[in-house]
Amino acid sequence: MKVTVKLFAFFREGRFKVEEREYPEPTTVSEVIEGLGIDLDEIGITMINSRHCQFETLLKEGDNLAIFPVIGGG
Amino acid sequence: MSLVARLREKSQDNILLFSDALVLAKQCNVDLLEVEQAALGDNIWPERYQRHQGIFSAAQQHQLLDSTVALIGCGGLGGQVFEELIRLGVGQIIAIDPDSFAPHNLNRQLLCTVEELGRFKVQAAVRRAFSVNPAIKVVPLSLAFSPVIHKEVRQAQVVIDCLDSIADRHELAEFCHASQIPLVHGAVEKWFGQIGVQKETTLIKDLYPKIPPNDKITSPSVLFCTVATVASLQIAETIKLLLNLNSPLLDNWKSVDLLNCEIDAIG
Repeated sequence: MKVTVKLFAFFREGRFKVEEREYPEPTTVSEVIEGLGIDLDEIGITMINSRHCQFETLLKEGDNLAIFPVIGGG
Repeated sequence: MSLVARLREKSQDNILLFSDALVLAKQCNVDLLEVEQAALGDNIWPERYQRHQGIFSAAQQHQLLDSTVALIGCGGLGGQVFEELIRLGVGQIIAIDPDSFAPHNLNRQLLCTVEELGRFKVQAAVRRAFSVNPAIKVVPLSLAFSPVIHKEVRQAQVVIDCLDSIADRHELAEFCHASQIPLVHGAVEKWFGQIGVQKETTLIKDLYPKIPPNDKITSPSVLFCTVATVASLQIAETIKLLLNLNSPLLDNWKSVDLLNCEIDAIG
């Protein structure tokens, strides 16, 4: 299935901003994240089609997955 | 002669010169803030706010001078936010930070100068206000945000989050939610940041669903340009809250990426 993955802030460094990617079914949000070499502890928010989702949520064909890091500096 | 009568006598083209405001405060034995409030109440603009004309009405500038804001954290974001609050003319600022300045603050913390090293950040804020806008009343509290200072913070119409820990942000956001005080959130790392306004929702809990294991242990690297951008966005939202202007950021947030020059909506 095709999923559009959008990365934000420093997750873009050495990766990409937005990319349409091919994944087997079933694939969870956490599998996409780990496949990108991102530690789950670094995740702030994940959203599918602009709605909050969980790590264990299953992706569907055509989904837009947005991945934001925790940004905590002040 | 009353203060208003003196103001009318001194002002020209509805502008009160800064030097005249200082003289009037002394002659009438009142605070500079009171002189400026009286002037704006009579549609006379203190010279320092002359270039706010056409953006704010005199009544709106007066409203800003009447306002109290609580600034939680006076480091990177907090230093820049403080500078903009005093230049904007927010009349009272409750400045909260338990820390003193160290040399590694010099790259991005506006209130940190070589002279201020080792001194409390909130005391540097008091000195800065005195040198930039002596009319502003600063309440310095060299304490961490905790129930001990809830009473002071409840005086504020807006609370500004310039903290650097997720656990502290959770505590502050819960307090603001329970106290029905809008909270202007900002956070930064490297070239990136985020800005949001929590008014009726639990935005901060949504943004930080869990407290990371390295919270309060690691301090992220950050550029001053990121700090200044996010702090300025926080000020823009603060102005709108204080003046009851609408904003698309109410109970919403945006991601800021200065490397790619983007401010993104969610998703």
